[in-house]
Amino acid sequence: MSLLSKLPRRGAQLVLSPVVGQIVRTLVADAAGSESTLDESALAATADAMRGRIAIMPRFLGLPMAGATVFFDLSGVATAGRPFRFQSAAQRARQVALWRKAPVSFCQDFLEFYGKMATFVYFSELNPEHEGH
Amino acid sequence: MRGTLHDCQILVIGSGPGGATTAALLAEAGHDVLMVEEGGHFVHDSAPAYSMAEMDQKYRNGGLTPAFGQTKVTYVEGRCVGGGSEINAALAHPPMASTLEDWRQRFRIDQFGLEPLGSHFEAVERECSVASMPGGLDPASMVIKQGADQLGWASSEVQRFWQYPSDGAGKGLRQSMTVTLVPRLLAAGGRLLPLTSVHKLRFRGGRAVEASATTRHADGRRERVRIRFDKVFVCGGPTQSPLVLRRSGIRGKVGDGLRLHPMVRVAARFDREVNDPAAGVPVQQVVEFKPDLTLGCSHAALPHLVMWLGGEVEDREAKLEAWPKIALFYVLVTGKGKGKVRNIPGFDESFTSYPCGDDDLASLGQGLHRLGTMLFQAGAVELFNPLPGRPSITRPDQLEQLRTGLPHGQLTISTIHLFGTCPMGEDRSRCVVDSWGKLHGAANIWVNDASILPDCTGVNPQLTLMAVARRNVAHWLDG
Repeated sequence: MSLLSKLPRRGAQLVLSPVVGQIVRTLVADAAGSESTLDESALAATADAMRGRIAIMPRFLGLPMAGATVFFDLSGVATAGRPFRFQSAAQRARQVALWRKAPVSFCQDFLEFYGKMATFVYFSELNPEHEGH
Repeated sequence: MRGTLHDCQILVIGSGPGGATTAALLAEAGHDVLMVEEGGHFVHDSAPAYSMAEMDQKYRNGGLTPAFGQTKVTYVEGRCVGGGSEINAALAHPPMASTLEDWRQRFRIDQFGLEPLGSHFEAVERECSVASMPGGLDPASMVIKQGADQLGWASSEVQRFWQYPSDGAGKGLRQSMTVTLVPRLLAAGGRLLPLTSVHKLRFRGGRAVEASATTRHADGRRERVRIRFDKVFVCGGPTQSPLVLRRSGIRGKVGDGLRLHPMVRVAARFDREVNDPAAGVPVQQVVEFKPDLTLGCSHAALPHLVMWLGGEVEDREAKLEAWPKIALFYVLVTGKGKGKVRNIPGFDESFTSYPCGDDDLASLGQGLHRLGTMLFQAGAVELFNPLPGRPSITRPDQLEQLRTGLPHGQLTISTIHLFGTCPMGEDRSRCVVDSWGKLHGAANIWVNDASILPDCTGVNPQLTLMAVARRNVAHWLDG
């Protein structure tokens, strides 16, 4: 059982929900080409799926991933004067670009996890006819 | 110790290709067999193939299993009745005779090789309906064939563990363990206990006598379970078998020697349609450079393609609109590193590490160069750069950036083939089990899964692992 799932459920949701939602929005927009054309219902489902993914991770991964998510959010204060979840689309894209270029592999790994998984889920939500082959 | 008690003559831990083969054959020989499986028992179409739902149901940790190292390698493991056979591409590729001979010599494995194993390969192919795809090759496979033919490289269709419909209607049926060996186990009077994780073995008088386990019920309740046995076959796979053994106090070389096939995927765009997910998993592989290097193509519906579209892509939206012109190809190499599987005190999960070093990156780089060369020969107009932040490759001379000096930590490297954490052989300085899977120094413990394959097969491993498991059980029954 994930250690994260042993935390008060509501507390974990309150902390992670908005951050995961904005990370998903930004990275899916990056993959899809633009934020303005994104499907909100599919985005919401994707954010839910990502929160679920973190919850089922092995405990030695899930807790650090949750912590990294919070750190990513708060590091926005240094780059744009406000946490990631409160930034504009342009500011969020800039923070992602900074993390992609960071000399620390942890930053790329973090974005790779969110980027690949969220992209897959989002496009699966949009294109259910592509499942089952 | 309290808990629900089960008694059996033979306990089989794990229900993947090794465990299901072991359990079914032993039960059919008249033994009282109980097979336990950590994951759930799902029918073959319980979730769409390669979907998130399938990952949630049948993959360990929903597909998130990293092997840590200088360059992380993400691996995928089945965690369900049938194990990896329920989620893999079901490709059935016999090993090269030279690979088995190499193992026989290096690890001192008795009576081993393509010829001694021949009857077991035939039995697996017959009983699990290994067959070629009827009709012509799918479009992505045709790309492989055309490109390889242009370069004079040998390529061939790989057969699958698949029962194709005789009338050509429908997709047919994957011959996974839940369709083949598990029903045979149950028909022979064997028992199956899913959703049950074995923690460790307990000993008395030098013999393993009991397994302590936990069953997870659908309502969230956890039930302690004790399983008493006379003999035990540990078949949890290359990460879980060493985990159980090490938790049971059996250490030494257990969990060392992890070998794997590092793989890199590359999406490529053509002027024609090359991607038809409805055609199933592409089956053509370049075999020219086996066992060291395999070039092939992956199943890739739109969500998969978007996930693997790397680098800086111009006109991304327009290209994705025309996604049937994009297919996903892979480079798969025989890994040079040796990793480890260890327990983490206080946690149930394994910690897996693999040193994906300069040798592996060099192999992958050479492979990427060859793959790119072949794809351009087959008419590719754009290779989406597997290196993040780099522009697409649109000319063969631009492939040089992939050939040498690949940086650590940037490529997305994955694998689905792991081996070697409990290697078989009579060389006790490096082998955990003997030539027939019996744990060295143990009275009644055997290991019979991919962890005993001492090195990379260089080919899709399921056929080899099932033939070896079959051979080991036959030897056990003989004597």
